[in-house]
Amino acid sequence: MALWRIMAYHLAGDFCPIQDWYAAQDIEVQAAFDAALTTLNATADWSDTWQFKELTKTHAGLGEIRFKLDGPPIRRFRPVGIWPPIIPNEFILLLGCEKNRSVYIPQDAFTLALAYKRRWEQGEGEIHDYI
Amino acid sequence: MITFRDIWRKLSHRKYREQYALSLLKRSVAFQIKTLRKKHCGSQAILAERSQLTQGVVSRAEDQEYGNLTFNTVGRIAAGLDMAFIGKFVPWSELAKFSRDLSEDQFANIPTFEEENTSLQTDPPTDSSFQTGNMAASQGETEFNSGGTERKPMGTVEDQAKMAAAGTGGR
Repeated sequence: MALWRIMAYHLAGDFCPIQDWYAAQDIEVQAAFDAALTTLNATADWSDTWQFKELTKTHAGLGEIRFKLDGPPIRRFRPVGIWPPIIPNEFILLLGCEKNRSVYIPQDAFTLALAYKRRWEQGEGEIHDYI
Repeated sequence: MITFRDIWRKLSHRKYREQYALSLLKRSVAFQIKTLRKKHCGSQAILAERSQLTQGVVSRAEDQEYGNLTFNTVGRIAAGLDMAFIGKFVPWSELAKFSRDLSEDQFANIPTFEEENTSLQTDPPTDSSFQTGNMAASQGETEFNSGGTERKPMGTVEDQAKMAAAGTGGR
């Protein structure tokens, strides 16, 4: 049984950044992301796994899920969500991004994620189960 | 919450299911090794010693992104944990159920040989429970020997050898 509930943040007009990002990815990336979520769902302590990283400093309040797709070329991805959870064992995905060396795609992914986080905290938008 | 139906719908795309199965294979073996190591050994160093591997190899084996584990390494780690590892081919529906039900608890309760042997000595399983792989659920139902009526503990290999030598039969 899943130990976590994964949610997705939706803005007005049913705009859901994480689902839009997912839909735009190659099907292999989608599958690799879902597999990463499967094992994270089964892991009680996310602080004890390389698959997840709590961000600090200017990005404090966010956490990134880490997964890669073997290549060539190897592609690395960092979907971002709210951390620590507002409700225990519930992670809210905000958006997805790809990491190419030190460059993120989209470039402003973390700034955008922080903006979404603020909007959610101010009562804007909704969260729904991420499927 | 992800349901069987959600997973099954995505598996309908061939490229998706091929990549999902590959990613999950790499991740779930590493996930199991880490879960079992924490329960039975504590540190990677202890598991490495019991498996006759280096701590670095155990660390890589627990890395869900690594994916280049050999059968030899997995077999050694299984031996270090005193458990068996069986890779087997399954239908896609079984993968979907495995995904839906995956959790640390599922693996944290796998007993070592000694733990299992102790429980089998006191409450031996039936032949049918061996066939279904559900020994724990059916212990104590009927006798282990399907051809006979006498209920006997299974015993270790050593016990069986002693019984054979004494002419009492161990099976």
